[in-house]
Amino acid sequence: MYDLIIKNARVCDGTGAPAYRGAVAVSDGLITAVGTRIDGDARRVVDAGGNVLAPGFIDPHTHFDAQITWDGLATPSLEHGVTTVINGNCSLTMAPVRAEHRDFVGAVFRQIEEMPAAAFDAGMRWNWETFEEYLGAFRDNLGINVATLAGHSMLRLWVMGEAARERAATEDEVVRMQGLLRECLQAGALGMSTSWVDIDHEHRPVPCRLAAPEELDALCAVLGEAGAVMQVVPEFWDPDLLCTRIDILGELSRRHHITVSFSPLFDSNATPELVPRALERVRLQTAYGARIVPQMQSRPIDVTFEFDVPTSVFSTRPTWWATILKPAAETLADFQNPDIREQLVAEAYNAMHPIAMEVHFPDFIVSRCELEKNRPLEGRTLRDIAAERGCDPVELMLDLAVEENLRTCFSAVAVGHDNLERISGPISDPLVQVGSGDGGAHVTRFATYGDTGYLISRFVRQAGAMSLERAVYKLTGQIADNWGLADRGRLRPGLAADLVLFDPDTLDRGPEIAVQDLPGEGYRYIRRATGIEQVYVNGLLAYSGAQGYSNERGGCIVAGQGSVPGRRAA
Amino acid sequence: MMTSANTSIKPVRPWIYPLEGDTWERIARREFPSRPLEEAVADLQSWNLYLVFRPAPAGMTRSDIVFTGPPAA
Repeated sequence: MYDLIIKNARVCDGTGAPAYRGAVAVSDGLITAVGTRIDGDARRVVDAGGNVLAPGFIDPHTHFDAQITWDGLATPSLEHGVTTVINGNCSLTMAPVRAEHRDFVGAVFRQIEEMPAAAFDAGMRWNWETFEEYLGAFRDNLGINVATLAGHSMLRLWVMGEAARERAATEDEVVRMQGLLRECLQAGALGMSTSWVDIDHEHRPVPCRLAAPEELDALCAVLGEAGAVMQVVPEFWDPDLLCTRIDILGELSRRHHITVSFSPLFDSNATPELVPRALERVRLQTAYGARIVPQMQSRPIDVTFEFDVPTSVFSTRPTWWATILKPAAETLADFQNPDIREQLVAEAYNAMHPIAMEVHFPDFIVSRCELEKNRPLEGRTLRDIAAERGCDPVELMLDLAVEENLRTCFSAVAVGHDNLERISGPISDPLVQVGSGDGGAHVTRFATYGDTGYLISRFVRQAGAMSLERAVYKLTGQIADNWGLADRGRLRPGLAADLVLFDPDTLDRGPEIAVQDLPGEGYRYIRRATGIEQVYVNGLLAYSGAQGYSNERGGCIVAGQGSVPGRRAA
Repeated sequence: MMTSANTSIKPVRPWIYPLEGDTWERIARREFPSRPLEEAVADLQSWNLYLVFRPAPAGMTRSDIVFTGPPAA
């Protein structure tokens, strides 16, 4: 007697092999049979109605590190068919963190991942310090599977204290970091993340960027001992810098026999040669034995900003950057100073584009106004409103910001990574992993959810860039292989019964909407899914398109190949 | 220690990691000892605009790449 049989499905098994009409049986949270026909009884039988049955999607680049402690479903990822999220990317994690560093870590996380302070403070209990204690704080309330990397910045902070932000580590400190990383891996960390890019809330490099090359090498040696992986953020906007980083990663991968994954691999009109050059470099390093996995997101880049929070949109415009880093009152004064305004307007039209984005301010939409009288402007471009008023669009942006005490929200969609013709080839490339979605981050700026369905709607149905089977493989089996998730990612007897049932003709991400579901005050942007019928996590129905989320909590902590026995699904 | 593979792969551009406390002048003296200092610093900066224009207070760090040659023509 099986617990569950899903029959009459189009079985897409996560290997990339052709789909076939068949069924999957589940018992005790594991897949127990897969085939064209399964005999025997089950406590529950689901007729799939010809919909696609696939392994649950794996999202390899998320930042649910804080949210997962109060939301064990990592909403809304689960409703998009994601059954496993990988947290702890970009050197940032919520553990190991000593009590005295919580304020700093919280501020850095809120800055980089754009989490509202009120929500973060209301949701975070901070009743842990070590990595093991952190996992224990939420493992019993999981409706989704969670794997977590140990953040390099947190390792430095734990060992070096404030000095982690100021200098390279001593030999003794490096040895202590190695020991701490071993502890994290033994407790369940999937690997380690680091960054060559990120800055903290005070606009200083995050601690891991102060590491000498020898420190990173020593930590990679520990990853090699455990068969664990490393994720890194390189200078993804510059072809020469990125190719040089790929060489560095290739060397680390070969020397320590580790898989390294960098994210993101972005296409932009500013540097259309970047992606082909980077892939050529990855191919070269792969030919010499390195295991380098570029992560590419399926969705274009959207940008939203308000002037009361510094945003990287202005980082290549010195006068803007200097102005918005000031306290709000001084920013407001600068915006009204005729001399400074003149410089701001000139820079708005004549500056390097920020990283991987083509920013044309007149095309920005006024997406949210603070004052009732300005609400009719919402949804209109600055160009349109300025033409009506007979003024300059950037002057208009400044005037609105001043009038609304810097609270006006401006948005632009698809400012980068939007060229279907250029992206279709690379995202289908066997070396490229679909990822970099950033789920759980930038929640007040744009929605980071639904990249999975969008991959299928845009690159399978619209562009025909890859088969459905290939797309499913890229969302499941390929990620499981790359990250060492040996017990997931395919429909095979003995593996975890993470399953998603979906309509291949309608699977997609819905429109971006604002919801108020965070702890405390505040909103976030999300997207709902279309075409998702059912999602199972370790054999339990976690979500259905008809009934929403269930009360099941079948999720677990997922560790990689380097895990100690019994730790995988504790 | 480099693996044999990396010694076989030609870098896209010559580069170094900065040392602790490095400035443009120190790097110029070390990498281009026979060149006039001002000229060497100017070249270094022109090859590394991403560091020159990095918004304050973030400066050069030990993990940064500093190119010591120009981009391909």
